[in-house]
Amino acid sequence: MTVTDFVPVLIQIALAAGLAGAILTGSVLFGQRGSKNKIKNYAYECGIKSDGKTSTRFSVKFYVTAMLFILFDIEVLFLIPWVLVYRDFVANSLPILGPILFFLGVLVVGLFYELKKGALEWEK
Amino acid sequence: MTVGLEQYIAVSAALFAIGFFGVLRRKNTLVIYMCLELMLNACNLGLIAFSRYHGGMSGSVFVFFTITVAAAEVAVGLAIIVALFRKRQTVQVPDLNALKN
Amino acid sequence: MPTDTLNSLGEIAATNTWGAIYPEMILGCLALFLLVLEVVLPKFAHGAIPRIAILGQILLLGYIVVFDPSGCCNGVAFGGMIELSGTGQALRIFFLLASIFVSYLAMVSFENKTLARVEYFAITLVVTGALSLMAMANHFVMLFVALETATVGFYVLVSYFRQNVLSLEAGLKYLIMGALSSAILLFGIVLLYGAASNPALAGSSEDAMNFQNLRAFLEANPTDSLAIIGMLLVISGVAFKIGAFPFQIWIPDVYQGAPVSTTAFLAVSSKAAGFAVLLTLVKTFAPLSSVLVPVLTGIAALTILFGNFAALTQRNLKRLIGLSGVSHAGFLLIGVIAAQAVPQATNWVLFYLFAYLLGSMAVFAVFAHLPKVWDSDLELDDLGDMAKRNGFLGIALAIGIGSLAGIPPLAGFIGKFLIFVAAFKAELYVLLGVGIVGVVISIYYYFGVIKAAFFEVWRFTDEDEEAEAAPALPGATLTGLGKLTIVVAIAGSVVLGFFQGPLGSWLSGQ
Repeated sequence: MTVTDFVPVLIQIALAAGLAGAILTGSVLFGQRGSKNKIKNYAYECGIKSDGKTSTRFSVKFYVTAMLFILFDIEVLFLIPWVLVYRDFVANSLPILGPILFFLGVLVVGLFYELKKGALEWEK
Repeated sequence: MTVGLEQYIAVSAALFAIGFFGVLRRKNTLVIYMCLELMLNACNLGLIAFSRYHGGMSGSVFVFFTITVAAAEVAVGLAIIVALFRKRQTVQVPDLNALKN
Repeated sequence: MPTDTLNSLGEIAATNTWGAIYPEMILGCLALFLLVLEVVLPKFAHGAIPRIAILGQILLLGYIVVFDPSGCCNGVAFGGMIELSGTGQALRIFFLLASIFVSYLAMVSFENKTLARVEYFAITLVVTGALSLMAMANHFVMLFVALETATVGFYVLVSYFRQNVLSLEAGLKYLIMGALSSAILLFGIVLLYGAASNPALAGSSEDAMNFQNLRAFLEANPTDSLAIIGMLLVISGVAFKIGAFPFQIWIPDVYQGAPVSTTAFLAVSSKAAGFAVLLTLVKTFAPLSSVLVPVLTGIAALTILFGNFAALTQRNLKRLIGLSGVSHAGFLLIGVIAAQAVPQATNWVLFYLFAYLLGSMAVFAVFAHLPKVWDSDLELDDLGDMAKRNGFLGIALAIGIGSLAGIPPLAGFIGKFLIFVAAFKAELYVLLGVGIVGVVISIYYYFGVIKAAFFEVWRFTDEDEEAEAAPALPGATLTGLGKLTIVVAIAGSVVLGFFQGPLGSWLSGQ
């Protein structure tokens, strides 16, 4: 591959940067600006002063769900190539159905275990 | 200039080195963990590049397994880090010094 | 898909001899079965699950030993993924035996704790299966996947005591070190693959991660620098797993923090699997031995010296055993190096591993019965005249430690003796000298343990403290079954010391 093959990528990068720049410049040039002072810079100009940190701690449930998601998500990786070669394998009577059924069986046992353990219940 | 195998391997080695020194130097456990993942992904890039330029599929197939392994590692690793955080309220390596002579 | 690809796939599929790996498949299915049992059975019946796990393993071990002691077939299977051999079969039995002991230790040490109890046994089974596949691996894909299955399982096992900060911290340290070593190993594999799949070089192959193909490539290009760097990275990754110098830093911390059953599992099975891999890899990398042998020799010598010197001043029991385990890794490395010149040395390494298994398990079983809530805090002083308070445990400890130290006539002595014979035959005189120095140093701290258990400990005697009675032993109840388990371990150590007949000839008769 030569560098010229990457020209579309460069154009893409240039477009992205250009668009962002154009929008920002446009808003600076044509947008209306009020007077700048401390009160104006608050999130809400009136009402109760907002309190607390901007970043709140996530519940640990998110982590659990995310972990379980990753584990089951990755299995698709093995299913896609399997689908692609399925017909060829069957036509040549190569073993293809049994192994994947066993694989899915293990996954189902895992899912069953997970459900019974209550890992997927949000309210506990 | 053409982008060939050497460039891919150079990037892969650079990523691996960044990850490796990150693991050694950083103090936050989560950042260390990201560095470990970076090392695994550097390996993936190397495998794919060799597989593509040398012909043959075994490198590409191996990547499937390394991705799966990395996912399993992330799941277990995050669980341990979260459990430790709940116990100690910190994930900074210098604070984790209960095991000492 | 082109026809010739499909034809070659057909040939590969014909080598999938599933019957040859039935022990691993049974272990995996048993693990799944345990998990299903846990969710199906009512709470009060959960106590039966560890027993089912142990019973299943004993039945499997019994079947293999009685009906299938030499394995069904030799040669490569699964398209070159695994190689079935007598060594693999011996290690399979080794891992099963170790796993039975580990399950028993877990059962004992979980007795007085509130924990999820069942998962531990399922994970132990999966890890055992993975370790045994790892010992048979003949392809880097198989090696890596089996190794990672075992390592990820170990992450969980090490940090299993979730209420204990030490256990979690040990888990985190093992996680970072384990993942780092896996990544280094993987990068080494990438470089080896890159070198050996290069069609411009002689002897290259499309399936370059197969050990036979790799060896053929290395024979054709013994000076390929990419391959040499790759080999060094792979060896470093394995050295991490076996805890060889300078990759031993994680050992004391992780051994101390982990539950005692996991410490035993790591010390025995994980290390043995590392050596099984090393034996295979040394054969594969034989064409590069001009680089490999000096590196391994240096590692072995430094490992023995470091392990022994660091253990000298250690008061914490599990750290002590961990560091002495480092020196055992050094002795085993001598055997691995010698195996290049003396083929029987492979079997002697296996014998050493079996002796190490029996000695370690006796010692860890005693630790599991000591009265501490968390066994990470066990100190030498906790052994205080244990022999008087519980003679049986005292004798078990003495025999276990004696075997580890290599006192004749116990099994550990024969193991060390065979390793030294191998080193002598392979003309590794420097390593032989270092090994003998190591043994002498190790006797000092091993005797410190025995002394603490058998002789009156000098305590700061205050009038008030006199009244405070020493804690009653044992902490966990020593049941008849527990006694039987310990007796098996110590009897093994004694019997193997006097009489290696069947095991010795079986190991060498492959």
